[in-house]
Amino acid sequence: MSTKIKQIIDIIKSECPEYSNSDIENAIIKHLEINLPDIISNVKLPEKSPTSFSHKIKGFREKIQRRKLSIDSSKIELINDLENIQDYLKENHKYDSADIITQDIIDIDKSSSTNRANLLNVDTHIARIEHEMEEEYNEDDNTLKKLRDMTNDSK
Amino acid sequence: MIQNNGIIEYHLLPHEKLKINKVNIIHSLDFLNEFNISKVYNWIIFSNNEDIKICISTSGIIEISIDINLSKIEESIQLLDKLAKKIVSMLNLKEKFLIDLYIAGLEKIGIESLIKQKIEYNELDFDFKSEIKVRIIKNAANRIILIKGADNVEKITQIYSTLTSTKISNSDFQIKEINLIQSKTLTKEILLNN
Repeated sequence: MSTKIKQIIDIIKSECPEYSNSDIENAIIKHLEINLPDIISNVKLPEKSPTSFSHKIKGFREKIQRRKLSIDSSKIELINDLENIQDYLKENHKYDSADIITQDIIDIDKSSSTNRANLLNVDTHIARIEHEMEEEYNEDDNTLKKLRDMTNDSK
Repeated sequence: MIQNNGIIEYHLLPHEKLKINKVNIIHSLDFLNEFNISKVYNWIIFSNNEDIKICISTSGIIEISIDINLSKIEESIQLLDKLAKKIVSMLNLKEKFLIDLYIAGLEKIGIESLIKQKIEYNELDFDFKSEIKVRIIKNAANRIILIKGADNVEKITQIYSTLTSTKISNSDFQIKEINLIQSKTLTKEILLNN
């Protein structure tokens, strides 16, 4: 590990002394995973190469995809935990408290799908820009052709 | 310039949370060997770096997204359904699944004028024939439709056609208002039934 990375861990540790080194490392890895496409395109391409913008667009769309998956993963985790709490409350006849958790689950589900839809909206705009830049008029036909090939039973 | 392009996301959600090994996912889906594979959290992503992405979680969720001209939406949904079922079969998953469908980039929806008459709102929830939830989210120039909880693709396409049809009537749907009182009643009903 380079000195620079060690320094970053030390800074985070000084800000969050209650967390262990492995907690901090996991948080850094999660952050790096989300930003991986950007990192790759920065490593691969010189700053002003002609293709760097379209690579950046692809990288940005990858980043949106990762954020969507992150929303899905945390929603599943959170709802599972809440459902366990809800079961415990029902077993102990605490129905009013279980109802509050029911509402929390509904709210989390709704806000997750709104966040997801917002990201999808951004992705749609970026995809349009990408289509316009590439000027691939037959691309949609190609997408359907690829799907037909992939669902072909002989494959 | 391509007109009316957008993104469709087709999600297949198992009734029960599953546990699938990441290595098994990659090895079982050998027909995707030309796709790039990456791992994020508990997901494996297969991507052709262009217009198709397939994400599979270790808990059994399958998400496929495509960039498409929305004039071909019905054929696209059918093909996505076929592809998702092929993946289910290759992963040897026996569980029942529900379908969630996100369609983004729709600039025209037949229901729009009805929404305006009903309520000035950027987000609407509908209770569609009780078990299937529909949300329409207005975002900048786009409309995003989320059809959630259908158990087969025919219901999804039927609802989509109704939503985009100009002949939609009030009796086709009800605006759903979920509130604490309803959920309270729901929990108690479930308890009484048990």
